Amino acid sequence: MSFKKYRSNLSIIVDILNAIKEEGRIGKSRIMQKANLSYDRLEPRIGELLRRGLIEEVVDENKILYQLTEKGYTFLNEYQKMKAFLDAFGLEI
Amino acid sequence: MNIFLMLYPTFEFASGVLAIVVALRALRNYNLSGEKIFLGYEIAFLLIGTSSLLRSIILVETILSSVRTAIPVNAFSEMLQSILSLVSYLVLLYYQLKTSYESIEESLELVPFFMISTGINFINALILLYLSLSVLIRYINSRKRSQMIVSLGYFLLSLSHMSYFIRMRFGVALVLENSFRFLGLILFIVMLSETKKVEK
Repeated sequence: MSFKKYRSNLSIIVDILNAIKEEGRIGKSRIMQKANLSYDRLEPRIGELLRRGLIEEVVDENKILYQLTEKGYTFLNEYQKMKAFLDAFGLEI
Repeated sequence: MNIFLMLYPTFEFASGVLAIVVALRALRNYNLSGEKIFLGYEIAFLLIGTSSLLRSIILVETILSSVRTAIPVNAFSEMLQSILSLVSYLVLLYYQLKTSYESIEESLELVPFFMISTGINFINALILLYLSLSVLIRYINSRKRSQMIVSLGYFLLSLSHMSYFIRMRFGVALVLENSFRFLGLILFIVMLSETKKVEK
């Protein structure tokens, strides 16, 4: 039995969104670095975030970068409320 | 009709509404995040709210109807509320335990066992608390030292079972559980020496 704490899908998504928020516009490799994720774990989540309209792709000097949408900012705000909700019950996401 | 009687269903109804507000908040969180934990909380609080709302309706009905029909209807509503509450508390307990243990990989499948242990420890603690209070009441009447010692012994054993809940979060609390059990049993030994004095 190992005691390695793992992150929930939601925590990973929030880490990705926070990484993008901090930099404004950011590429995949930088997200991987900031959110401490491998390419295999990042790729499906980027797809999910694009589908849900939380981030959008922008092309800057032939590089694909990602930035938060309005919905993405709202989601990050809502996450704080969700976290506070669970925190009140002594739980963590 | 006594107007104060209407306070019971009013409070029950208000409790139901409050629980449903919490359930709606949890549902909103679930829709936003897709995390099952929020769905669990939504179901639990919805059950608590629904049971209170149903009970408030039945209370109004019993207040307005005759005593002959009121007693069985009320007994049924109380049973229904207890069952719904039990289900909702089990859901809350499941998520509480799941969160406590999910940091330990490969232990999530053990959550049902932890649930059973938690339930049994809770029942054990309540039984021992009841025994402790019963003996304490006898002590208040008789003032026999041995009864006070046994009451305290039961109480410490009860605390030992309650410590289980702290241990779920903080493993080091195992020392509390062991210490309370040890001290409780020491008191039973003291009680034995007290009764020997009486025999002499």
